[in-house]
Amino acid sequence: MFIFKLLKDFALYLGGLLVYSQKHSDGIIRLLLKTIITAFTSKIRLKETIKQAYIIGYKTIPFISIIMGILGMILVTEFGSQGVKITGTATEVGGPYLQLIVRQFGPFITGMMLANRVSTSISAEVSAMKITDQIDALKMNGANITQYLIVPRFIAGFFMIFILMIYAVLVAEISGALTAKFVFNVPYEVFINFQFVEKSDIVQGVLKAFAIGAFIPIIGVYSGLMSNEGSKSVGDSTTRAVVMGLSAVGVIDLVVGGAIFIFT
Amino acid sequence: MNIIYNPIIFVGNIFIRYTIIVGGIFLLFFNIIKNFFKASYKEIIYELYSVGVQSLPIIFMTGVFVGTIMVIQTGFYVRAYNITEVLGWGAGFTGFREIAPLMVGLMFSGRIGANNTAELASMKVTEQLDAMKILTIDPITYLIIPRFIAIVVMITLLTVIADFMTILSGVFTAKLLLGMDYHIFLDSFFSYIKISDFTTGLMKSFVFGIMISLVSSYYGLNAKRSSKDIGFLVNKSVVFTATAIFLIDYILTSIFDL
Repeated sequence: MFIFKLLKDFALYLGGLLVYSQKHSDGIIRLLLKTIITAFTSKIRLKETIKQAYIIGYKTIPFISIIMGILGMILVTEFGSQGVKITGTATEVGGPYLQLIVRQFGPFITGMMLANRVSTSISAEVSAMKITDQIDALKMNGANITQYLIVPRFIAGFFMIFILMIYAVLVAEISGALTAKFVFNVPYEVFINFQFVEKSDIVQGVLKAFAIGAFIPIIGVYSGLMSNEGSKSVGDSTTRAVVMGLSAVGVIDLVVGGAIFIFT
Repeated sequence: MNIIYNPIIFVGNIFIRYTIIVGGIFLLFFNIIKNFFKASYKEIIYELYSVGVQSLPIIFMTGVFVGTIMVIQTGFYVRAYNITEVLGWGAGFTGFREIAPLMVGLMFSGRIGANNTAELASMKVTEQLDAMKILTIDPITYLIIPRFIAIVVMITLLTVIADFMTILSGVFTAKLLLGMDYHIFLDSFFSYIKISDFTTGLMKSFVFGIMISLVSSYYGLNAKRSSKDIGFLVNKSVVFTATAIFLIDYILTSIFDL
């Protein structure tokens, strides 16, 4: 009997989760479309956009450098030790490593890190504005919230995240080459090998970068705007932003990767 | 912009800031070890339940992502060179050893770590922690240690579930996208994957769990007295945890593999 109760509880929980995620993904996509339409139809606040680009892009560089540097070291150590076990050398690692970084790990890990860094900071900012009634004050003054708050963050995030992804691939390749040189004694000119990278890999990486760049700022704003009264909701909305951001990155990766796999 | 005007001050500031944080985290760890057996069982059970149940759906999802993504990415090579017998190995090896613990760690830090920071910080801001101290209840034994135990135990156990979901979703993806039979995938999986790959992943998760609970509790306990800061604190805590997870992952990888 206990097991039936457990199964029933689990099914109810899963159903509730599905309804919850469906509601939120619906809301996020609506907000995204609204933001894109507003960005094309109304005036863009250039100064605010540049300020947001500074916050989202420039301030994230050290974090991304550290993460991608360590990721390059991890992956090359992992692949290289397998290469040494199977073939005796690690010289073959360079080509597939670069290919995997371009189409999978560059966008995916950078996206997850940006969900941690950018979504949460936008969400914290917006929800602090929401609970101190600044957003209501803006509305009373006749400002369009989408045009005033969301569009600058969206445009800045979209372009900065794309640039950061290219930078992340570069950092990972450099740190991988250094690891291969110092741990497995593979020369740089052997490790840095562009032969494996095909057009479809680059298309896959770029598509993932654009999709992640569009969704991460929107998720931050959406989850920030959802918070209501009280100081507890600031923390809640930030937590929600991380979870939604990480899940969104996973879903985007899955959809784009699967589509490219089927259509090539 | 300080980096251009005076690089020494810039580097020194960063160094001092992070030394204070790392020192605080270690002090918290020693404090936890010292009072480890004073925690109440009731609280531990409650926290185990809430941490485990809260993160179960996310862990399910993480396992599915890892399995599917790994099979798709290995699938490109399998299709190019027509080597079906490595698919299970490729997906299982990278999934079990590297990607599943890493993803579980990041998801856990996002769900449980961020929640922990937010909860503790809002308790600190609303002076509930001070009220507890006045009632001679030590916040470390009453709040931190149960969470610490719950996070460390649950992340290790839930990694097993994530690994299981990795295999399951890998088998289905291999069938759907590559048209491979179940037994080919499972044969390749069971003949190449060693038990050490599985335990390495669990060990990594265990250490990540210690890190997540320490960092998130540290940031929560050190909240300043303003409710607006909580969001930024959560942001900082999540970023710090992610960096720590990657750093520890590299250290453990080089210990286990080289």
